[in-house]
Amino acid sequence: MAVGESPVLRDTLTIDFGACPPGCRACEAACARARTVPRVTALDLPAVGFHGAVVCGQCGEPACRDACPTGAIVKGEDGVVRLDEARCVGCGACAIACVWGGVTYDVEAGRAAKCDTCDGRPACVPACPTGALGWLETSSLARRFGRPDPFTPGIGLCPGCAAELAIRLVFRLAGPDTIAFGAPGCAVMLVTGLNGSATTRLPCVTGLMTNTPALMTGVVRQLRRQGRRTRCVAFVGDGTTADVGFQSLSGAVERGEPVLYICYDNEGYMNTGVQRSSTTQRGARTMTTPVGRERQGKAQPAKDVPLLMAFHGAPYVATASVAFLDDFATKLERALAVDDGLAYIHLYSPCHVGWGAPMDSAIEIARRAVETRVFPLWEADHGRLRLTHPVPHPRPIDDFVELMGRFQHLGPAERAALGRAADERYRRIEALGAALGDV
Amino acid sequence: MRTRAPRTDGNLRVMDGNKAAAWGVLLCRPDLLASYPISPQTPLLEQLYKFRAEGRLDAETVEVEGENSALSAAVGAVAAGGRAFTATSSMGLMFMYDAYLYASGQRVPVVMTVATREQCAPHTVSSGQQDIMLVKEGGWIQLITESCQEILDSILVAYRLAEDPTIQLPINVCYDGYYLSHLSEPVRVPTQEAVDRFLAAVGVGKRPVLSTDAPLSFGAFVLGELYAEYRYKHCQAMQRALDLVAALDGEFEAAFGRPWGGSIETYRAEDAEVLLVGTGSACGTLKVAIDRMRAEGLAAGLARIRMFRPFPRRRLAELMRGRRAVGVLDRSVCFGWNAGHLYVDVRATAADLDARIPLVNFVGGLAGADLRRELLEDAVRTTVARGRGEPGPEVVWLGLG
Repeated sequence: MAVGESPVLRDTLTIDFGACPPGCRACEAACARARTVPRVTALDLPAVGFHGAVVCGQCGEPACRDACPTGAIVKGEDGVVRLDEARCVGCGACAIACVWGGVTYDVEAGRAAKCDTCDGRPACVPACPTGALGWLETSSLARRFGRPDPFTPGIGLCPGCAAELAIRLVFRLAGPDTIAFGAPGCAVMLVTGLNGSATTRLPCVTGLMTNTPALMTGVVRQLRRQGRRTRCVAFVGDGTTADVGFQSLSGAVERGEPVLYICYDNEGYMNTGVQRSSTTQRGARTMTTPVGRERQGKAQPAKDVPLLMAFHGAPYVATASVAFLDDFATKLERALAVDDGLAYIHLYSPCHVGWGAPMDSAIEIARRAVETRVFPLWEADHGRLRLTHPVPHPRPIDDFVELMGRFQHLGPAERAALGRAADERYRRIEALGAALGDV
Repeated sequence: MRTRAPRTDGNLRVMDGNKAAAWGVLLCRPDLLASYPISPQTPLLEQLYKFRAEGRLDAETVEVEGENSALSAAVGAVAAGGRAFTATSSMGLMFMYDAYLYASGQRVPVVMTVATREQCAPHTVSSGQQDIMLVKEGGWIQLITESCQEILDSILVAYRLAEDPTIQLPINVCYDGYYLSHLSEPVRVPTQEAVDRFLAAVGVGKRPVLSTDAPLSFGAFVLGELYAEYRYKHCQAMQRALDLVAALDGEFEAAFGRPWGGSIETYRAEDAEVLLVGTGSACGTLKVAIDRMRAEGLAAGLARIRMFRPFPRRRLAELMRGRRAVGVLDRSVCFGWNAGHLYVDVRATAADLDARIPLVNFVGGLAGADLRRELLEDAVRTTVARGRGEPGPEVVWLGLG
């Protein structure tokens, strides 16, 4: 089976190992009552301080399935790996093949036993006294992004890049009747291909930094003229959007071109080696706003492009974050349904390389940007503006600043100023929401 | 409101160059018009919007916020399978330069007229050819016209040539701002049926287009040898256009009962001792000057370059061969060569000849300065004198000091 074609697991068991009390075993008992032998193991390893439930992870490419000589183990369309007891001969090969302890053995019955999530109603979860076991309703999210990834695997943007995650999700959600538009910038490598090799199964257009919305205009007008509903979706960076291509975008919004334009904002020209753009935050260190005796980072605040787009009168404008994919998916769905003008999504997409942060930090930085009010999540749907993820009690700004090298030169006063600026930005949206939002 | 059927009966109508261009575009049935106003092409776009409002022209219209977007929207429509048109002048052409190179490199057969105009600075809106000369190496085919009739005809030829499967290149149809854009002349407007037949060989379904039915990548990233292959094929297509335009002249005559004329028009050149080379509407005055000099016994002739890019080098070399001198009239300045742009090309062409011929360049008519008949008679006299061995400067600035 080719990569990316396995059924995607939808709902899933979650385990918080830290919350699992030693010696409890309530999950095992509940499973045994509901089924035959427990499919979940409450593992107690006091020597290494480990107490936690071990259960089948419903692997993407299950080793147990591959090891089974009779084909008794099948991964279903819902992603759950199930054992057909009638075909099981009790050889135990599956239990040996699984390195996670996810398959147990029912000695009395003489066959394997494994978790099948009780078909979505796991008996162990309500039995857990501490909430260490949970049932995550990922179904909506997984189904939203559940279409095949139209980009080939193995196209490397920087390891840990949030934009790569986002572009793949966007075009999974947009579906196959979509033309992808890119412009010079980090993420364009997924759109443009290289030397005759395509990197996506979608038709794609790589425009110039100055003209992508105008190119989309020509394409979408011609498609509509031919009676086609094909979606035109751009995924381009903040330098293109906020600076050199701003005019073209502004014109397309004003004319009401029926396209979706997504700006992934990593606050700078990262593809050319980290220079400031007009969405770079005040104080941030970049290669063109370096830190020295006379100057310390960017002197100006970030241009609020999504708000500008909302005030252009675009029918749908939203901010989104790679750390809040459920929120992002909702907004993508709404934006893709817009046909009375340009839909604009401004996606916060940290660049850990340019921001001086560890490789695995992009999502956490994005989360804290929302939770510190640095990047409020909101939408303006046909003029009705509202916060989609209110942050009534923001985290201190240091929780955001401390994650990145680009702010490390800031003293307490400058940090506090950043916090106040974030607060102001949030309150501006809040106030607009009160003025323009649902009544 | 009562609407009249369009008069495309082949009758003569009096119209200016902008209107002649609009009729040419109307007859080619574009899918999309993208527009941004700039003098002196603006009345052309206004006329097209009038056609659209009257229901004569069934096309998408995109009122963009700048010329870069005008050309880009046209490129997008062509990429998706349509036929598109835009027009510009002067600084507008400069403002779309990145899209201009993108269009040709992507081999997008878009047609764009240029009502030629001087460049800023100093500020001016007057006629000149500096704008099209500055983009002449941008990989587009460039046709430069002399009359309002030729504007209309050249737009028909341009779509036929641009969209030909062996060419697939964008084309500029250029006409002198004000001298042609605002000059009224009788123009024969062909019938829609005749134009449809002439363009039947090209159009929708004849080339790969952007579609989710058969995905392709438009604007791919290319390195090294493959990039060179793109450029090589682009150059080959440019050269094929020289051959095809000669063949199309026959097709044109068969369709419309009159020739279009091919890459170079000659005037009294057969027995000429000296040859003048020029482009555009100034050649009309030059023809009168040649007639008068002939009356004085000076055997001069004219080669008017109609297809400026690709440059009709071989044909021009044949026309230059054996002349006693060649004089070149330029309405633009090539700063790097201290001469006019056309002169540089003619000088390069002279290298194809066995014998050395005296060459002289006349630069004039900048920013609408009047190229009076007397000035051009002087130019002919000077060329004859150079042919007789009289010395003088290589570049003569007409009307200056």
